[in-house]
Amino acid sequence: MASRSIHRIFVGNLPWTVSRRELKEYFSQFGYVASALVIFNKDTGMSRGYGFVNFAKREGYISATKQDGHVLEGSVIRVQPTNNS
Amino acid sequence: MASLLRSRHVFNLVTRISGIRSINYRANFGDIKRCFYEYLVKSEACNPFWNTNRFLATLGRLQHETTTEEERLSPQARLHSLDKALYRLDLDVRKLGRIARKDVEDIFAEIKHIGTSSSTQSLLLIRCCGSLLPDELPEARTELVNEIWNKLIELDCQMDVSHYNALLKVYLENEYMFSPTDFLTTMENKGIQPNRVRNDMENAKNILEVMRNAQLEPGCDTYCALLCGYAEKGLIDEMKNIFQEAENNDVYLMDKDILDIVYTLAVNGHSMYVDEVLGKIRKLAGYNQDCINIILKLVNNKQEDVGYKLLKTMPRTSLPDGNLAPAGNFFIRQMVRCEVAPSKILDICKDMKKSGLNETSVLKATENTLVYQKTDHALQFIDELHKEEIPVRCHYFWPIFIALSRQKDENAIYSVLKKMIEYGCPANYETLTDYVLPSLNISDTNIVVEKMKELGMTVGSVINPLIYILLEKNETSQAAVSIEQYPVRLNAILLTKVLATSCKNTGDLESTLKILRHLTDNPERLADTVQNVDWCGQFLLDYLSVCKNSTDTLENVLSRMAEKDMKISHNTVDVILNRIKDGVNDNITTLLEQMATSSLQGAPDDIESTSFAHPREMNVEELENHLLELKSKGMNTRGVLRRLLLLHCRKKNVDRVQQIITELEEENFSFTPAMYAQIMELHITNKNLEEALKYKKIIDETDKTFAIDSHKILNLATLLIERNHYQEALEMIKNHYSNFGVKESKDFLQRNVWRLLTAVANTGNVDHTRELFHTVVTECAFTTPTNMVLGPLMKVHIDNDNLPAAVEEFKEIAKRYQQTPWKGELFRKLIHLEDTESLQKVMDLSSEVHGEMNTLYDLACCFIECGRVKQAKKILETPGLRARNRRLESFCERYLQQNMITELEDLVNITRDLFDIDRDQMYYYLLCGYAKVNDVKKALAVWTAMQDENVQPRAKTLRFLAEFLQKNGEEVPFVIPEPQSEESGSGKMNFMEYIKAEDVDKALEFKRSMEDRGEKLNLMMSTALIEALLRKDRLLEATNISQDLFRHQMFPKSQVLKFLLNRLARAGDVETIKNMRSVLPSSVLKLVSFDNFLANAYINSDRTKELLAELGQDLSESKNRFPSGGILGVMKKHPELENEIVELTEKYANQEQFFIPKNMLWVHYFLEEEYDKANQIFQKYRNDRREVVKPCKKCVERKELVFNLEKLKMMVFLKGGKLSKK
Repeated sequence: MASRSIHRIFVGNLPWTVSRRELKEYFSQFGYVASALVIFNKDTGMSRGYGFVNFAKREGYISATKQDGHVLEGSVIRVQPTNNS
Repeated sequence: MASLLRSRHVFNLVTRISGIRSINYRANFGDIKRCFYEYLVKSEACNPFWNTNRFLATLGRLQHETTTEEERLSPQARLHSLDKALYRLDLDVRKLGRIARKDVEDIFAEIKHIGTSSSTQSLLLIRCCGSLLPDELPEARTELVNEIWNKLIELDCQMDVSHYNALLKVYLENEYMFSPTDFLTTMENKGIQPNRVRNDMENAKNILEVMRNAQLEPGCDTYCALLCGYAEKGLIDEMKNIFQEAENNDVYLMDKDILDIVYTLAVNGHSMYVDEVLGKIRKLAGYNQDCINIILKLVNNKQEDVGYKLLKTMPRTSLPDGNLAPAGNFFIRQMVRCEVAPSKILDICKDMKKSGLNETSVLKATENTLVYQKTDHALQFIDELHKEEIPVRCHYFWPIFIALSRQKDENAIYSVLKKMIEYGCPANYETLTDYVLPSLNISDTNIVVEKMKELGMTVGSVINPLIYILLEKNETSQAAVSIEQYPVRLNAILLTKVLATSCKNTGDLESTLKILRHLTDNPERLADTVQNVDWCGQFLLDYLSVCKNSTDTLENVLSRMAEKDMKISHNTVDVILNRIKDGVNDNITTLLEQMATSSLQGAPDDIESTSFAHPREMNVEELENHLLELKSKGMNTRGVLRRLLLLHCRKKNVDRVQQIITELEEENFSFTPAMYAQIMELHITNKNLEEALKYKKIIDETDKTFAIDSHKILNLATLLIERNHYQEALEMIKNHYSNFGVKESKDFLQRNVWRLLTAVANTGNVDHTRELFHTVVTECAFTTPTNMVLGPLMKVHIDNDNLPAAVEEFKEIAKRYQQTPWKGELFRKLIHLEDTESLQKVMDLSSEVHGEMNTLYDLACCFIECGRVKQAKKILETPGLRARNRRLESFCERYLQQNMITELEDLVNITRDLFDIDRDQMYYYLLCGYAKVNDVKKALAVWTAMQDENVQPRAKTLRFLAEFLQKNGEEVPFVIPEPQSEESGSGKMNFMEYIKAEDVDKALEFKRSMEDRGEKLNLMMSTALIEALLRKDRLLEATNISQDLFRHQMFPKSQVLKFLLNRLARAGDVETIKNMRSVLPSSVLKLVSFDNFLANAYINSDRTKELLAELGQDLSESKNRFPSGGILGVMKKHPELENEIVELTEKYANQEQFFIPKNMLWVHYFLEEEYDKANQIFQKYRNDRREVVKPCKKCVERKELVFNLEKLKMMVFLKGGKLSKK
């Protein structure tokens, strides 16, 4: 099987105030976001400060990763393509 | 190493304290403390070794190194994390003067896991629990150190007096009230002899001496100690006097000292004097870090007001965008941790916000209450957020719910849910499933739903998560009942999986299908999902996954579903059949077919997965798989085969290429000449002359106009010569040149030409060699006559052992080309023959080209290489000769590379007295040499030799030697200097050596092994690798690595990027270049003149028309990427396209007022000496002259053409235009 093309990015250095909803909202400006996820520590209930965004199409993925810097709620967040893209 | 810590370098505190005991037997603890205080203050000043930070830093580093030693013994990952933690500690101590508790705990956890601890590790751990953890309360730190201490005792770790010293110091730093007598007794019981009395007396005297000295020459520390003493008592007048006195004596207190005084004032209840003292602050480097440490201590001691005051004195840092970074987050955190009253924190936070110090102070406080699980406070802060109209979000409550669920307080949970509604963020699905419902009693669904309804939540928002939780708990029937009772729309996408699981676990098909029916009939309507989704199908797929594709129970499920007339899509049927494979039976097939309907779309899971990567983006393996897939589906495979052919050719997989050719031929595929050329090249590389010639012939027959790349022709000619077909080779090159000229750039073909000429030189035929050189280099000018290319002309003589001819040839070349190929070899031959006359001749020629100095060095090295060290030394004794360090280094590098250790030794020896020589560097190379041949003794002797010679080794050299010695289990006889950066360097050094040696395969192997460890090459290394690959003509690999970099938002330096683009353009790989446009930032695109390369790629792949068509579209967009240089190339190569280009330039000029194309047209005419046409343009666009003239002039200047009359006229004219403008 050919590998599925998943247009997924890793997002790091998220402020604690950001949940999947805010993440999705922010990245929607680059293209339709199929899903977004912020990883939480289930024992403490606090955000682990990183997450993933799946774009429905390659265009969104490209324009999100191409942008030089991203600022979300005052924090400079780190955006990286994931390996299986 | 550990001995270092135990030895004289570390002050023996225990000795001191017992000494004090023996002097003043009844001294109370306070006195001892004061003595200690004095002692520490003084000793800081007089003994550079007792610098806590440096001590820790050294420890951390030593630790770092010991653990690499132990790597072989324990699992990699574990040590890796220990390494990382230790590195972090080291860095933090140096930079911040504090460390994070988490790091200490990490190391402790590791040590507990490993079950033992080395002396150094233990010492480090203990030492970390004092003032290096300023954000921990002293009690917590003492608790931590005691825990560690007891564990170490329990693990029976080796401990000596230094450990007790460290513990003692930590106790003092933590202001822990302990009994010194007991402490000493414990020590003695453990068999550790702290001291002998005689010794103690001496040491006590030492202290006094130190103090007396200090009094004689009062320094900073003396004043500070005094001031702290007065500050404790609040004697501000005395303090002022001391300050004055210090100033009079030109002693200025460090900021850190002032802060200590402020702290002493504050904690002793004299805060009113703080401002006065703060005036003395100078805010030198490191002030902020010192300030942070003191503020943390102040907050610990309930002095947050003074802390806030200090915070306001701290210079602000800026964010990358130029705004000020929010200040004092650490301060807020510490207040929360120390449970300062929320009202107090809020006051400070509001003030911080008002004064612009920290806009998000309240959020920060909220975050910390949540992190530190101060639930009550957290609710107060969230309430404040709401009041300040900062949006409150569901997940802020998650830590609270977790805390409440631990307290099993259902009522509190419900009241928080109510609060959430008040704040406008009613608990969402995730909140309920993950954090609320698991801790509620849901045995009676009604009660839960009613309670939630009462709070103001909608039934739908409660039932969905409730059903989920019930299914998760395998309460399938209760879930079914609840749905019947509260028939709301269900969020199917979240439920099918858990439904399948519960169905499998409970076997309760009846309830399951009831729920499933409800799902399909009342799905939650989401705007962005496809309608008519095949939920039944999704359920079945999930069920199969849960059953691991076993069909044991599937048949039953299917028949029950079929009974109830539940439908699934055709697509799902396919997927199911595909998945269960062997388990398929007639009954299952019949049932599935019966259920299949076309009115449903594929299961959502499948909709997502239908998009495949485009074949162009696939690598060989993926393509091969894709091919199999296409075949199995009976689809067209040509495109993939074609692409595979190309890739396998590049990868030189002859067999697979043959197979693909056969397959394509079977399909009557018509090969393009380019494909044939690719295959031909493959055969050339494999030295299969017959096959290569066969394809050459095919190409010539299919398309006479197709120009095979020059390098392929040169390679083929090389092969011909190697097989003794000199004449054919010569003819072929001449033909090729007369038909197609040279397309590639000259330096690109250099190596090919060199190989060709070397092949002919190898035949020993001087005439042939000269003739071919003349044809290829002089006539056809495939490349420029460089040293390398000229080499074969020398080689043929030297191989023939005809030295006189070689010397003659050398003379010719030196005169004609200013090059000196094979000089070293010639030198060496002549040295052996002791032909001084010829030697002088060659030297003179070389001196003319390279200068005398360089030639002398070259000659000296040749003498060394011939084993004539004395002569070599004589040469270097030439009066006035200075060290040419760069040249010497390059000799060393060569000797090193070729394992010429004796030569290296000789070179290092005879350069000893050279003026201005970098001895350390020379010795460094020698060490590298010994390390390479693993000669420990000699390496160690280098260190001694350096001392004898009085050469100060650099840190790099020492580290290298230390690493080498340690690797061989030898003791390092010196203190290892601290590494400057995180990079251990050795791996990187190896890698760079591979690159230097142009061994790209080794480098690639290194890359792979790094990736296997989950690491990556850094940008610098990747860039070097890309460049090396390009030099080896391994374009594909270079491209892949580059693209990988791009994906990670990393871009090699523009020089290399241009190199890559150049090669791609030359290969005519339009698509690859084009794809890069979308990933490279526009700044980079501009920097590397991307569009010109793209244009060249079009030109080189004979797709010029396509390029023009593209440039003709969407002008407003295209003008931003107009390849001005590229278009010149087009016009030069394709004069027949003139009309189209003129038309294009018109379009740009008229529609977009964009004149650069016109300019380029003008430049083209100008260069081609078609002045009439050029002038026409000029006249026509007179009004826009400024636009047209500017670049024209630039171009003229750059080209520095030979002026003929017309050109001169033009220049004058242009200059006139320019001048009038100025």
